Amino acid sequence: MDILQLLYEGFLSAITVENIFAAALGALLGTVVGILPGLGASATIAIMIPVAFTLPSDSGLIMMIAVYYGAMYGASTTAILLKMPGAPSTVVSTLDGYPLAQQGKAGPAISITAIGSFYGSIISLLGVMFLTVPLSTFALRFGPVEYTAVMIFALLMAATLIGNSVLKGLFSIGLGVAFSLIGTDLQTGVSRFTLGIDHLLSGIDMIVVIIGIFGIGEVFYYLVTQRRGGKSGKRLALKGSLIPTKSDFKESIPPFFRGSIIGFVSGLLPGSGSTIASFLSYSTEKRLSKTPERFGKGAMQGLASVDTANNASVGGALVPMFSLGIPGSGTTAVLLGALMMYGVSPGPSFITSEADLFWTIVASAFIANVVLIILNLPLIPLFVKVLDIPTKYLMPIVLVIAVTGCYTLNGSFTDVWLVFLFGIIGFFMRVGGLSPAIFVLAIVLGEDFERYFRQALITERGDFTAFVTSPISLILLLVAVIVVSFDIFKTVKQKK
Amino acid sequence: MKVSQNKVTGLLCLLFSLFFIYQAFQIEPPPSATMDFLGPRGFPFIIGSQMVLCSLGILFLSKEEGNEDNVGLSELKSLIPYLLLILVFILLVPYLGMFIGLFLLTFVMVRIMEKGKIIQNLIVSVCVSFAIWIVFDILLNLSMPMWPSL
Repeated sequence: MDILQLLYEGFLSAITVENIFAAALGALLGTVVGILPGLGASATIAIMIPVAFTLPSDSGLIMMIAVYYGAMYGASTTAILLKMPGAPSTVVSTLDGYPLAQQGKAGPAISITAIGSFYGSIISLLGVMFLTVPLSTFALRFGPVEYTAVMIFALLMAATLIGNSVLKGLFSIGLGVAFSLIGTDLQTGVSRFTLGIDHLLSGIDMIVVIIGIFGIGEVFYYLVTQRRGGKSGKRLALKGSLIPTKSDFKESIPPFFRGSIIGFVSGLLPGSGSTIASFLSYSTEKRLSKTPERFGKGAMQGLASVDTANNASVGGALVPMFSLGIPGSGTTAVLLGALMMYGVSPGPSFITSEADLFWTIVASAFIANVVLIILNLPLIPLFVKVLDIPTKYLMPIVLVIAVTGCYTLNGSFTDVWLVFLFGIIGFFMRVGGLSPAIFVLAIVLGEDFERYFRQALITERGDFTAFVTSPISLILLLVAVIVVSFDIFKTVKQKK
Repeated sequence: MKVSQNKVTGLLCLLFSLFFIYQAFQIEPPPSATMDFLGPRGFPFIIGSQMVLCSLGILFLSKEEGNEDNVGLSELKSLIPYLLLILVFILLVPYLGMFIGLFLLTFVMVRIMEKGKIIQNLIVSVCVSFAIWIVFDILLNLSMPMWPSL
């Protein structure tokens, strides 16, 4: 069936009062939490998962995608007004956003980021529509050997792209996969790593891990570092008009185009996510600019490029998630975990077996973005008020919501113990320079990784050379090994 | 003597990896012969070995770089009261119920973070518990032990 026809049907399913309410609520909550410094999109989605589970699957997923987009929209507001990035991906937004606010242009700057975010999201959603189907069709040819290679490729690429140290990234992968093995081995019925605790026989609830690592871990980190004073600038007021001038628009339109493409392509690569997209887009604009000296001092095109790329990367990361079942970023790993909890397993057959759900999600993502742009522009002054809430109240509130949500998943206090345990693990991972995002990616993929690996060896009768005789597997493994070897070589050389 | 962050991280990672491999040894072999080449132990061994190698790499190969997320010992100590509070909360909440438990958790946590404004802190803590009760128990109809079990 024609893609546009399928999208139209997706819109018909998505446009219900319940779904639009879910999109609006998710967009609002995502924006509000995104504005708060410290809590990124992953933490926001993690905390919202138990609430989303009370809704029908389509409404719940729509809400979580809207939260994702909302958090991305909101994060730059803090960067502009406070010089404090609301998420790692908005670090670059502070470079020009804050100087613009100092020049009294906070309103137009926030509006340009909202428009850029909208544009980037829409372009990347078009990419999702047109790329997911062919990629899924191609992936239908994959057997366990190719799938194992895809898993290894995705995890190794994530290790090289997220974080500073490839060795710590690789350890984070191992740690995540190790935790995913806890429970009963589905192929033999043997229990593994349960330490005699019956509750662990069915494995660790992925959502508990996600809430612990991203939600509670962030709260712990804040509690420990709250007296540092931070690197934020003086909070600047949002005065004057919100409407950008003609020259602001003229300056921003080319970065909108380029940022959306750069963001989408970056999002496609497993692990690269929005942070790399924003840095790439910003440096490209600076290189192409006739006045590069203005960058860092309040260049509207710099700011426009960053936020467009940020949001475009969200769509890019959704493509491998839907077509291969491989999340493109830590946040999409959280989303994938939520999808699995609904009993939905994205992968090559997802687009055919769950076509209605896929197109409803795509249509809802369009709706969520329209809702966001409609709500965001007039409500910006109101959203900014969120920054007035003292963090001494905010962090306990986040903790309480996370704990309550976690309890409601299974009605078990063991999950409350576990969520704090994972909070502590998440905190120490961050302190030790390990990557919580890679850890979550690995814990989400771990079970499938082992299953495909074992299946591959069963079908190939224990012949490991199958991984290099399959061309797809060979290419993926070669690329991954070359990239990782290069990074390890660099680490060794630096040490000397 | 100053201990580097990579040495501490590497050592902890190594200890965990060795514990993981030890636990992998404890996995019982499957009850009957299968076509499964690796069995339930094989994959954990591979992952455990990979973690050991990475830990050794972190210990001996990683260059000490400034990790802005790193925290000092004094900062780390400031986490202890919160962890104790959480421990007490988890132990008591099945008896106190979520309403009182969450109220106490919020109130004590806010007090640890900042002294003073006791009335304001009390009101905020009650409001938080109340909001949780309304949203999760009443509106979302999620079964929760909100009240003390007698």
